[in-house]
Amino acid sequence: MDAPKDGKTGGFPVKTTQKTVMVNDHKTDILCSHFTDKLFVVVTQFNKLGNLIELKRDVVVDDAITTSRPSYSTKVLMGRDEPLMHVLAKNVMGKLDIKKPVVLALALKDESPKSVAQLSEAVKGMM
Amino acid sequence: MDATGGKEDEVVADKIPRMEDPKPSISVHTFHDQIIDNECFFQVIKLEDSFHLWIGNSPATFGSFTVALQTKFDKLPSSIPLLGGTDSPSNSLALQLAKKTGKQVFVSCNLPFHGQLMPLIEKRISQELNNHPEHF
Repeated sequence: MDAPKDGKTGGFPVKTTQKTVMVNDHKTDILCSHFTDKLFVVVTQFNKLGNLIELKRDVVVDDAITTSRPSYSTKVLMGRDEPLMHVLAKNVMGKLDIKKPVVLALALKDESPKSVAQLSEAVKGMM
Repeated sequence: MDATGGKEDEVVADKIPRMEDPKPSISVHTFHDQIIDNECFFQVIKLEDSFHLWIGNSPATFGSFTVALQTKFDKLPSSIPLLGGTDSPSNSLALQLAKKTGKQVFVSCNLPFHGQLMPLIEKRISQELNNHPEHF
């Protein structure tokens, strides 16, 4: 890891990236912390963690059967454990190709498909 | 924290409508210290009325995760482990920090259990909390 001594993450074992975007007029903070065994992602429009969802990549034996989109198993650790939350989590993280389990903090004012697609694109851009 | 990797940001910027460059509402603060032969790293994510604290060494892992908050029903805060078991030091640390700050506290403590280490870790966090309350 490159270690700029003046930088906040200089020599720090966790690489954290952060970005603020406007999605459908809602200010959205996105933060990613890369750990060796997990990825911690915060996507928030409330400046709070809100719902916490754990995503685990499903084990795929034969790549030929599954198509381009990876599949995840989701588990709501905290917050609204309802079908929509699982769908949102899978869609926000869906474009990423990560083998590690992900802990996602999701707090959205706007849960429309269009906004979620933009969020997914923004998260992908941070990897 | 500054957004590095400008190239990636520009690609995304094309696809996301931006009114102006919004200022981030959450901030990250990191510090580290040598505590009994252990190089301990700390990362604080400041959120609204809450914060997330990660403690660990190198290589960084994210094994346990606990949330604690003060409720009106009891003098002591309530806590619940979200990831990992209850035996992790995250639990007691989250309780103490919730009591001290009155905020909702998320703690992920990833250090091997060490009887003498934990009090010193707590001391180091209190010290940072007193010196830099704006980061929590």
